[in-house]
Amino acid sequence: MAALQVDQVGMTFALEKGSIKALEGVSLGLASGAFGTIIGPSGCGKSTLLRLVADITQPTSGHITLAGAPPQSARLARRIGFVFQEATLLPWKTVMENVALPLTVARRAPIASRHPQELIELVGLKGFEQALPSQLSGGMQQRVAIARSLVLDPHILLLDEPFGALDDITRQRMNLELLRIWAETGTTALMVTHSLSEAVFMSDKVFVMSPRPGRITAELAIDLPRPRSQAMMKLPAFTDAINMLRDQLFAPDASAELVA
Amino acid sequence: MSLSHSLPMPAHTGLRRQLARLSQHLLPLGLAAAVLGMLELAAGAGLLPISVPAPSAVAQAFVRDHAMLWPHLAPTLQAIAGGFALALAVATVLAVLATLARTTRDPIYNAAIVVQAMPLIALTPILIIWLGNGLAPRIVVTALASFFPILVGLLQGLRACERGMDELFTVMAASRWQRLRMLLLPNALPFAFSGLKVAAASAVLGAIVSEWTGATQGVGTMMAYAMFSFKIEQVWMAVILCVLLAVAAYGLVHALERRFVRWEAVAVLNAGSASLREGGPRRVLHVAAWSIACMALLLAGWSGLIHAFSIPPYLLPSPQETFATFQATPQIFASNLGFTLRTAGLGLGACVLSALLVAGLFIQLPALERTLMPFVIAVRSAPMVAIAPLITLSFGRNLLSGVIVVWMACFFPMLVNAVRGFQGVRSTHLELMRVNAASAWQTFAMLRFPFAIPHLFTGIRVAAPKAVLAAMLSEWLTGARGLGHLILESSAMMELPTLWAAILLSVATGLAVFWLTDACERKVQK
Repeated sequence: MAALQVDQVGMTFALEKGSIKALEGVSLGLASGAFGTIIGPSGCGKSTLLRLVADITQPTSGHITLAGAPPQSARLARRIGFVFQEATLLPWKTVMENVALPLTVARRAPIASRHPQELIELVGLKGFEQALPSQLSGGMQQRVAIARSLVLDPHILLLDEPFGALDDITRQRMNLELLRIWAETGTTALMVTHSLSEAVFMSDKVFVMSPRPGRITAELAIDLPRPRSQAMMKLPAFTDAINMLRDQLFAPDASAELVA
Repeated sequence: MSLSHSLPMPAHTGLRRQLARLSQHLLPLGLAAAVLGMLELAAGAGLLPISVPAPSAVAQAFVRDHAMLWPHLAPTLQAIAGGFALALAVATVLAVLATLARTTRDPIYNAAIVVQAMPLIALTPILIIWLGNGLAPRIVVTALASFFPILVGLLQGLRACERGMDELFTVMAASRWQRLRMLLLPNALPFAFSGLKVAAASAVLGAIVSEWTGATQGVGTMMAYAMFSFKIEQVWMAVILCVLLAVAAYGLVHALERRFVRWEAVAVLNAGSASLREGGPRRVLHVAAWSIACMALLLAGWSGLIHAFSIPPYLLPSPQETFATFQATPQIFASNLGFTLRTAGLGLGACVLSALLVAGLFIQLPALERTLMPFVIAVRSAPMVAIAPLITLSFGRNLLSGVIVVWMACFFPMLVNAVRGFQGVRSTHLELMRVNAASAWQTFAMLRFPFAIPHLFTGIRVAAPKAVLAAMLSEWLTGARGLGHLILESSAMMELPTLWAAILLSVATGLAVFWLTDACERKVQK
């Protein structure tokens, strides 16, 4: 069974005057343990789609299933991990308390292989357990957020431009880290990005979105071997994949949008 | 607070920078010492008016008479502590209710505005009739005085949650209660403390003013007696005590804040009330409609109470009797209202002009601002109206005293808003003017002033109800004609219908002034 199945999903926001169609007829599927990315220009509805999968909001049409169940039951069973663009840590809680927050809310004991201490070590923050978020750099804060998203062993990890606020050098380093963590945990991951190279580098599958209304215009499988490394960015296959994505993103109907 | 430069400062040499930093601390202290020294010298030379004793004389009075201070201090402290705690408890319950049940938010906020707009001294005589002439009415007045900033801080803080945080708790499937306890309440703390700091001074003011009527002991009583018996050193002692109480209350809140808010938090209380409400431009009408509904409900409840419990008129006259009083002598009420509004209006006008002037000077002369702004901030937390007796002593029992008291009550919120407005210009705008070689005056007229206008109206909205209250307070002290005097007189003579009518009129005036200034602010900010 697919870890994630999105079927003809539409989303319309009601405004004071009229309404705006954010998503229309969006369908995509992701196999268990796969890494998928959604790429598209700003405002195309990528983040909205991710929030529908997480049951933060509900679609106005269509269906979403996570391992066969609707998002709401997955969320209430606490099988969804979410990493926001900002680290979104509680500033009054220590690193350790922030990582353990989902456990506290769910009133659960740590899972054996997902003990907060182990996760903190996994994301490379050993020694910072008692630090407050304001004492950490942006990259370190985002590592805490990733550890927090994994603490309940989620079926799916949703990442909303998780490194968008970081500089490019830190961002590439964090991407490598994220792939390592993803490989070690075996979770299904769906990430939103607007970086072409990031999409190709991370994914098994890339979904290209076009804006207003947001819809999937192309789907591209990336066959680069794993584990991925920086050296692969120089391979012709990598460059080819990027060029194919670029063609899709700047296809005639999309470019008409850009001019308008 | 570095309010001076939006443009980057040129790099100083190490020594000069150190000197600059040193002067930042020393200048305000030096100025204070210089003023005290000059007062002392002037007193020695016999140059001071009779209402201003030498600083050393006041210090000696403290040493000599400290034994008589304690019996006065105790009830005032009780009123402040009790009133503050009561206000905090009620505000917390209401703010949590407004957060959990969205639909209660607007009614709660609008009701709070009605409470805020009431000139609280008008309520003291009624509360004494109802609750007895003990500590209870003083606690209630103190609570009413400090309630609004506490509620605003809590409401704003409970709302200040970032969207991502909110979504995180949704993804974690947190319960409502968990969201409140683990996210909203701790997140609101910095804002709550900002509100509490503002409320600290208001609480002191409330306690002091409540003691001006009927109390036999308290710092406020001591202040009033000393003034009427012309014991100038005692007036000064009471005023200094009052300021010290405010500073101590502020300091206590500040210490608690440092204890409980250890993370880096930025909580700027929004002076604009508009942001706290759900709706848009139709809100003014809405608030008006709400207040009218409140009034109608109040009148219905008022009549109902009297009939249900056959309450004697000396506790609560019926609405009909009260309106009959209005009709019997409308000219008395109209002329007293006119006097109060004249004092308030003149004081507010003087205050706006002087605040603009001083804020403009601060912008042109950053050194002046660095020297004086610490004073402004320190004095802002002191209850300025407490200085009213000194003003009355210095300028006599006349209109001028009243105008100065109003000016003092309004000047600081007005100045802070004006400075904030002038400095609200973005640095890129300033750089644009610089690139275009604009003169200082052009920058001011074309950039700073237009940017400051919304802030000025915010200042006026904050200051105008204070102006009405201050005008009434000054009438209590000077005996000048006006609504405050009418309340005091009718309360002393036990002319209850007149007392009630005057109280109703002053509450209605406070609300009207609030609506008017609130409407202006919205119009400008649109």
